[in-house]
Amino acid sequence: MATMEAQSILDIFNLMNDGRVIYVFNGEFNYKLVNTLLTDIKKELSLYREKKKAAKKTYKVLVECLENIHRHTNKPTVVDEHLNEGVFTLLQNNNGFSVLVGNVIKSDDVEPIKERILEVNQMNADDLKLRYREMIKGATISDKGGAGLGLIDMAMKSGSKLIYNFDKHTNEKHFFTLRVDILA
Amino acid sequence: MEVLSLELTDNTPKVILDPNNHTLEFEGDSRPEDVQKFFQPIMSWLEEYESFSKSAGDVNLDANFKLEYFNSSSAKYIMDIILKLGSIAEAGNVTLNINWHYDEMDEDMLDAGEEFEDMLDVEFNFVVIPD
Repeated sequence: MATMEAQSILDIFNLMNDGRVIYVFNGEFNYKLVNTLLTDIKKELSLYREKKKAAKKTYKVLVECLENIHRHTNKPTVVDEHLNEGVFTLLQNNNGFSVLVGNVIKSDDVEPIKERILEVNQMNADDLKLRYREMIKGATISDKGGAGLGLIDMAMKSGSKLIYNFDKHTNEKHFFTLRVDILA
Repeated sequence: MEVLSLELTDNTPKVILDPNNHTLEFEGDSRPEDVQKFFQPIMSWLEEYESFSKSAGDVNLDANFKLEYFNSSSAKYIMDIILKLGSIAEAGNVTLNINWHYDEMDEDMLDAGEEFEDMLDVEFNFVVIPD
């Protein structure tokens, strides 16, 4: 166990120091925190003058990603505090930026989320635009505050397929990872 | 009728709705914690302005959108605002100018404007903000 932990720390150290990591956060995603992070990262991203277009898109993708975690995890009635926790990493690479977010979700939510992602990934740019238009016209803001446009918006802005994974976490929970690449 | 004025914050735009000068300004980022709560007073104001403008003689209504970013849940409300402006301009005495400002490096904001224009059948003036 001790060796494993030491190795993990080394992995974290290596990741943090290979020049790709712009931001890492792990903890509870409440609105105040998400707001502070986004304000901070917006300033950080504005420093990437040479890939400004991608940096602007990255900020937009990040807002939707983080608001998604906040919206879908922050339920005051849920006693289990782990459902408020998440992790996110913002990386830069030669081709642009990558946003990675992960959070604990109820296992029952795995299939609905997967279906929505698969549906979005099957659409090309024109399909996405059309669907966005349909949804915004018919949208009612859900009780979680979203208009159901988040994933479509991420796919439209990034121009990339959404990369996702679900890992078994505990009995009734899964860990949901979403990665969005934004090409410069 | 009163001016509606909201200060710019990290997550909400500056809003100045001035019935006397017939100018509407929206500027900054829009990702409010509670979109309904943020946009409701704006929609109510526009509702009131619709009747107000009808008895205001010949009016040039200037709506300036200088949004840097809006999240997907704000998009719905921005659409509603533009729809409302279109409806206000149906009165013969109101000439509507929608000025949609976008950063030269922000193709999404230009796209979004063109999309609203196309979708809602309202003409926009596009104003580029040089990088």
